[in-house]
Amino acid sequence: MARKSKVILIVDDDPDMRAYLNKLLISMGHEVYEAGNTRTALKLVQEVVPHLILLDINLDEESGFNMIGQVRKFDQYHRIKILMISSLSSKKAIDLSKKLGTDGYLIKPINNTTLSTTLKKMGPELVFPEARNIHSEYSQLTARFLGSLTKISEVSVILRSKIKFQEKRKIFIESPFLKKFDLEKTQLIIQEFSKDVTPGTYDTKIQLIGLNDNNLKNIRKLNTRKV
Amino acid sequence: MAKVEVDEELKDILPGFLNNREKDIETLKTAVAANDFATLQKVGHKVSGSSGGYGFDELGAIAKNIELAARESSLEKVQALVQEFENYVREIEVVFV
Repeated sequence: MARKSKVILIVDDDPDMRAYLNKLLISMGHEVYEAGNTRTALKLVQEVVPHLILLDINLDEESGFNMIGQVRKFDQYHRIKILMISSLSSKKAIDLSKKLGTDGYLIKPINNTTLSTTLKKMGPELVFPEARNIHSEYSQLTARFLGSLTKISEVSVILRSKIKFQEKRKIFIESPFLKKFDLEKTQLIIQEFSKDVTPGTYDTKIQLIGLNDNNLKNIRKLNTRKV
Repeated sequence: MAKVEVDEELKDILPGFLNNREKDIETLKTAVAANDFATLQKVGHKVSGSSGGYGFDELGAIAKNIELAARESSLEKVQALVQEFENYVREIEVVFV
């Protein structure tokens, strides 16, 4: 069953509007990110891959419409939904928003009821497809995602990410930290299934294989477990 | 006194909102003095968008009028509205519901 809690990105240059929408969405149980401009927003889109973007039209010195094309370039199958939010109630703005392939239009001021009714209505659309039970022999599936290494020992690292691993698979990590300690060529294999940290965030223990004496010495020299 | 009912849930973000309106008063006055209609329009637009959500419908309406008057470059109208905006903000009394 699809997770009820969604990842939602608010793009608005007004901090009061962001604070307000953030508050409402968090109280509905969603995971919320904020951006005051399209540059930060596009970076976040790639990092957190939101189910929904609430996109203001009149941003400081720019139009929210400008980022739609770039979101679609990243999200070619139109999985990320975009709701325009604006004080503009003109037919022209609404028509343009439709033409650019957005998924709805909310006119400010937005109250709790409007927002929650709209999200309920959109609920079934705010779902990403899942890949399940892919046989390793036939699977050509590769996925890239962001995460952070939170612990390291001489035998394993802990990877914190939004991905829940339930198979012992080989994994590749691009990390300046691993590079710095000459560990980037080490084989990495998921050692234990992921454990929940917070809803939607998981820790995965990954075994380090083929470390040489120098690698081990470097790891032992680390003062802190936080990497 | 402008008695306004605000959702209890917004209690912790309300001081930030009111503080920003205090700053807006200064920005609006400076803009009036400089005949800076672009800034007046921008502030009016911003406040008209966010006020309603917080429960300040009347403030939102004043701000919307500032935006419209600034678009018409009507200094006299804007001046009166900025004064109305200031009076309203200074007299707000919040009741959490």
